[in-house]
Amino acid sequence: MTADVQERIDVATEVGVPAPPPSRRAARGRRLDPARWLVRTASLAAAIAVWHLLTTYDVEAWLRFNRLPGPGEVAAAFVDQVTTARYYQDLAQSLLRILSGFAIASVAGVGLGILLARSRWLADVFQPLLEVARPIPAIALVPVAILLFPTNEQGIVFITATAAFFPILVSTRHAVRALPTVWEDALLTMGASRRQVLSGVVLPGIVPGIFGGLSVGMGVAWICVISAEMISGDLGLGYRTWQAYTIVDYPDVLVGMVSIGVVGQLTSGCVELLGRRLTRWLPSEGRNAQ
Amino acid sequence: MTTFDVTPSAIRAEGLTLGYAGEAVVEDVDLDVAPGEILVVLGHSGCGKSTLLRAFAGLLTPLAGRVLTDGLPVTGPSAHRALVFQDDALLPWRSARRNVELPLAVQGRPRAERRAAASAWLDRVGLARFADRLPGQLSGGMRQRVQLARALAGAPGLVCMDEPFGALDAQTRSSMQQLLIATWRESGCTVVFVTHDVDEALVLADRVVVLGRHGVVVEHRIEHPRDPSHPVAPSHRAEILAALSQTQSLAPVEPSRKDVA
Repeated sequence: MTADVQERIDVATEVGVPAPPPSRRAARGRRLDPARWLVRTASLAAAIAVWHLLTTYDVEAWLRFNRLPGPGEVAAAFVDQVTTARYYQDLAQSLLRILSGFAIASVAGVGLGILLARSRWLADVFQPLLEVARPIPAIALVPVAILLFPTNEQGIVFITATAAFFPILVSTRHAVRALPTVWEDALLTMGASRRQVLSGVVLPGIVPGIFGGLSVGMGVAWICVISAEMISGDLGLGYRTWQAYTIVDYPDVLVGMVSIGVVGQLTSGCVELLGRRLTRWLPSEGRNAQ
Repeated sequence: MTTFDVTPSAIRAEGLTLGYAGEAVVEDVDLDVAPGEILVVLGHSGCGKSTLLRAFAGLLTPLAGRVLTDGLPVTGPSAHRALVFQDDALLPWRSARRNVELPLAVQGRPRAERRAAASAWLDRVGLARFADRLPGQLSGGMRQRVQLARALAGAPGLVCMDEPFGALDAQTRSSMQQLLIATWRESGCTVVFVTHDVDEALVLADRVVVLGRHGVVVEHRIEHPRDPSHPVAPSHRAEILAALSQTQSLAPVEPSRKDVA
């Protein structure tokens, strides 16, 4: 399953390649070389085989595999899980939290990042605050979130959003500062207003720069949503994984981990794919494809 | 079509001192450009000719003196004064056509009109076939043709050109000069063209001025402008070259060139 997702992501990332005859290039990129496909599948299969051997023979060589569930057990537990409605409820809950948190962080991070980069006054007002808040790990905000927010749900979304916010903010600020001034000058000499410069040059121009921040943001958002769910949730993949641990149900713990891995990769894949789609015009995109 | 609805602007510098962070790059420039004229400003790099163009375009506030266009002081950039940059001023995420549409989009013209005007301009600069290419998929010469089309599409009264052909090879450069002359004839706008190439100046100009650190050093009116059958006399060329080399010895240390396009 993981291989399948990885596959889809890799295929997807090769689609959006620019070139004078775009249709042909896209068609070629869509098909992955069978040899590479084989290597990727084999790599994953080998890892599972090693896991299987280590657990079947209860290997104890400093690391102890005698109590770790093997792939067979985990697969069986997985099948049990995916036939329950609760599994999908947990999945949906985690996805809802991460997507709403990430959406809030993206809008706030990009918006504030642009304002801070373009207004010295706003930078003076907000910069010190943000610099102090930035080093605090979002997960350390759990107690504060519990105090501040009426519901657990809002607290978890707040923590997720805070985690994703800073990488997005920082990358946006840098992207705005790195914009060539000549683009803005060109628009100004066409009589553009501040707003037209913003929508015509700044927003499209920073897209390549902010997608790095969005990818990192999505990663830390997952870390924080799962941790927050483990601490204070009553639903969600993180909560379920921790529950399984407290009742010493190790196969279900691993089912939770695998689920988080797969869904996490799916969301980062979406961010990556969107980024590639929006930055087809980058010259390096064309070069990489050749 | 409204493409050629151009009223050429006059532009005038009065005791103009320009620079960055209070430090003058060029001082005491007095210059008068007549409507519909091609004025070429010659000078070595660092002499402040790009800076002068930025002031004409309204992107730079003078340290002293003022810029007047049609008798009114320039206080900021305007659609009436376009600027063509040396390179990379096209928005790389917009196709050639959508770059040319840009000044019309800024003016809020309807989409159909924008498209028609952009197509007409791309056709005029010989790029109709490449309208949907991104700038990154065009050669340097093609990109400058798109820039020229983009600058003129907004029907400005004045086009400031900052060494627009400086990065091109000799042959492309020469064909670009002819293209500029042809489009200028159709449009009728005023052109202030900056270069360090004397021959380019003589091909294009009605009038050539050599800019030094303390303003205009030499001014030369071409007798038969843009007429290949009446080339500029070698003595005049030598005179301009001499003035140019004289300014070089006076040229200041290269300032931190924020003005490089």
